[in-house]
Amino acid sequence: MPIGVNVNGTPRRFFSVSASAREDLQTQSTPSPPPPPPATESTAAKEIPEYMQKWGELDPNTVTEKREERRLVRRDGVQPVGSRRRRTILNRMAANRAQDIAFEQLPFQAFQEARKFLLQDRQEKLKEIETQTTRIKNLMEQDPAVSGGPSAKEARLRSMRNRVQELIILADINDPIVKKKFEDGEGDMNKPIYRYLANEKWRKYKRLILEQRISQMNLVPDLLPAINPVADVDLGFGRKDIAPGEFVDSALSEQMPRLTVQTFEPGEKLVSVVVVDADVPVLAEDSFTTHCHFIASNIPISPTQTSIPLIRIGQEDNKTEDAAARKIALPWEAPYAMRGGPYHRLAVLVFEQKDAKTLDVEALKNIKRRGFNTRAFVEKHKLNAIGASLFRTQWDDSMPGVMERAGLKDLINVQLKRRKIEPLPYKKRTERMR
Amino acid sequence: MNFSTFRSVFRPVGSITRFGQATVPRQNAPSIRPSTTPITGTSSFSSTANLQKRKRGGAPTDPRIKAIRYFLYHPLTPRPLHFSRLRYLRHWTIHRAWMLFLRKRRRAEELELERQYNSMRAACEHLRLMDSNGMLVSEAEAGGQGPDAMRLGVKGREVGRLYRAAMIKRGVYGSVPIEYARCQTDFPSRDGWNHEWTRE
Amino acid sequence: MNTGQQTTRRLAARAGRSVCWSCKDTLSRKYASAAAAALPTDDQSLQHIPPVAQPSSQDSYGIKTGVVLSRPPQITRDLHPLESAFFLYQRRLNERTALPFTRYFYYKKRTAADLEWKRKIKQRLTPARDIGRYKGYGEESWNDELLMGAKESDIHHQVEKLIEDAEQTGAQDGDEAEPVPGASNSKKEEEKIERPMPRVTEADLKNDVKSLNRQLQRTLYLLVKNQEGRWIFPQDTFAQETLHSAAGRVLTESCGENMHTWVVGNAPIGYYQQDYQNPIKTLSGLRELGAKTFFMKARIMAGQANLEGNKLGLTDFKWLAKEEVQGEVDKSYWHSVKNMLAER
Repeated sequence: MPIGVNVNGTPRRFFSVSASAREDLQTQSTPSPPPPPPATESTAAKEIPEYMQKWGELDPNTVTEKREERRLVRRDGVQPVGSRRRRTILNRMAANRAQDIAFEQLPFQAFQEARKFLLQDRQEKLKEIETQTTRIKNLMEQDPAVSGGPSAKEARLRSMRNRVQELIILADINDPIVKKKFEDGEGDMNKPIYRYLANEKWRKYKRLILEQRISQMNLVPDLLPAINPVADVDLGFGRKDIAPGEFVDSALSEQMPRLTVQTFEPGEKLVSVVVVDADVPVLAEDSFTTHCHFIASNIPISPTQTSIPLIRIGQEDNKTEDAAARKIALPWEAPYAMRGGPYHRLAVLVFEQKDAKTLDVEALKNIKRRGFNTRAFVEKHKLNAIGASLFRTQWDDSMPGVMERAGLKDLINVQLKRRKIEPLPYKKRTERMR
Repeated sequence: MNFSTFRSVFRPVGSITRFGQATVPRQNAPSIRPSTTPITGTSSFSSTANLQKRKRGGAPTDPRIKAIRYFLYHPLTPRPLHFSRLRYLRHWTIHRAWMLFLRKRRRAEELELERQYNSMRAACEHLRLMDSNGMLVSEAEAGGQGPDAMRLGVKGREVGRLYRAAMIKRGVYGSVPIEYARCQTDFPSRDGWNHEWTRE
Repeated sequence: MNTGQQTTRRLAARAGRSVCWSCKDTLSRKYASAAAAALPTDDQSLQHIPPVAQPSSQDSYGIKTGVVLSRPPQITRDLHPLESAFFLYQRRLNERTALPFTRYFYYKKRTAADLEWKRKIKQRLTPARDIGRYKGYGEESWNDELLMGAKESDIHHQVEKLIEDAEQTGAQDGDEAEPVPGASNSKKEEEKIERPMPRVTEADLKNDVKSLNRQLQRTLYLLVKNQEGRWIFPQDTFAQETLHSAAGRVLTESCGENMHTWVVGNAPIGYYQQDYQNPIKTLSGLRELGAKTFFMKARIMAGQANLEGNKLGLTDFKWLAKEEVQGEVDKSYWHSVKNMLAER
């Protein structure tokens, strides 16, 4: 095969062409003089021997093989430009540009037949959506007495709407472009298909882990009676992403975390974020209690607006004069753990406010941090937990500084010790046993 | 044929090399396994082709066995499928279309069977409630089914005679003629349909 | 249907006989005649029977048996374009993943067959003969997809390739065949291999609706033209027979002896109710409001319909596929008939 006319119609394939093929090129196509730099032009043109001419054209921008580079230096006296990696990429880009056909137009038989079939199916689905919406409209105009009572009518409408939602998903789910966009993270979360795909992906891995951590660390009976996460909550401190249940360095957690809450339902929601420590030791009672580290309310989120930048919210709160516009009810208090004590579980709970009604932040300010009762809080404000995450904190080297800045200087030097429990008589190890 | 040629095939590959290396002191061998005293007398451990090979340049291996071994343990196997991103997407599209195609075809077949069954059922139900005049009677009028006096319809007409005859299963499965077992082919027969068939 | 069976079974079970279902059927019928004979003498059972009252109106329906005589499909269906493209796609993928061909296992070195194999593999690059020029190994193995409009996925093309391969020895012009020991004449004559018959037959091209060679991949149904000029399935009234035996009789009476047919089962596969505009007085003094036709399914294995001397006054017949049947019959007839006909 002459190398000048390639399969793809590219004029030249630099990347994988062997030396012999290059010689082929030399004999078949008109050999163009090598592009020597102007400085060496006069000498190079004269002195190139026969065998060197056979090397063909060497472009300092795109040579990738070691031998080619050596030849370039030797014959043309030019150093290759940039790294070999960069030249390879340039090469590839040049090759890709030549076959710049849209993915759907790629002329492969099985692929095109499959697309034809899928498009036909999509048309059927769209038609079905249309008829279903007309039927819904007709049913809505119908007198409830005819359709068997208002509740029956509602039930029918609900199932018909569900069917429409399902059809909308089914119409797009076989599209390779949709899949590609979603995998590249370019999916538009306003569209149901991308929300559906994101939800499926979340439920297949991240949600399972979250569920496991919640039950493993007993968040559910300790703080809330039950939780059904429907939104993906990503927690991070500074630049570090925190997996659910991870130990966080106390220096990191001194600052407020950043939250990303991805909901998979359309529409905007108002959420409250609560951070509760479930393991605060009460030495006097020889037991534990809870401590609320943070409460913020009336934060709007939607499928496209996922980020909750708590630090910026805090700054804005400080600026605003209007007390009602403030969002943070209880400002962040750095989590701490005492020397020798067990680790603390800190739950980050995201609650949806009912009917997107705003809560009175001023009233929330009166909540007592120590002994914070999550269940009562949820009951009182009619909240619904949609997402959760958690992290753990324990005594580490930076803890004294954190505690000092948090005003807990007297606790720094306290060391907790596990009380030695006298073993039961039959478990006592006797002298003879030793 | 000399069966010793096969022996090396059925032995695990690892053991070939193990016997090949003379790691076991040969003097002790007869005391360990006296029952397998070798024919050659040099080694008690095996009388296999391997040993023979060392002695006399080896027994000839069947070329077919060589070929099987060569292709079974060919360096190119197992061959993985590597796809580029777009190639994978194309494969995915084809796969989805194929699955959808199968599902639609199965659904269509299912619906057709259902239609035929329902048609049959309607006909049988009609027969069941039909009296000898061909009129439909109600379930109560039809009374019990069956030929004894109690089972006759209340009006004294015989109801469902044809139905009872239709429900007889005896002989139904035995009556399939052998010619009916002809299966479909990709291309028709050379002679075509036998139009000139006559009953003897 | 099911309810009926259950009722009968339940009643039979109440009778307390421990006999099998089919025997019970026979027994009860023998019983019936006995009971009928015993009826006048048995006073007690008479009491249970209400006095035989003639139906107030003397209405009736004529009962007929129709026979849906069909010829099953003879050849496989045409493939959907997606199917044929997919099959070839899969075969090429298989080439990419399959083990290498064990040549020396099948061909002894330096035999005629081996040389032929070598020549052929050089030309087609793969052991498979009908997937086109594609090599599952090496540099170009990624390039396994067929381009649009390629013929390789078409079944006729594949068959053609298979035959070609069987016919040729792979020797090209100017190829000096090596002298092979054992093969006396290296230039063997190419043997001609029979082509399969075309899937579209002559009857299809001529649109000969009387031939059974048409529409080989569809089920064909026998339609006849009755005295009134309507196209229907062959049918006739019957009195004392069962549907099954009546169907056999109708077939011979309408279309002659020379058809090898089989009436499938005892149960009807559908029915058609025709209401007359004006009721007819029958010989027995009943008012006939219409006719009910119960269709039995029958298959034809050989032979052809012959309307000569039929007793039903039929004038013409046709073998038609389902949608062609729709074009010929009445709308109401089609409505009650369409569900029992097979799509393919």
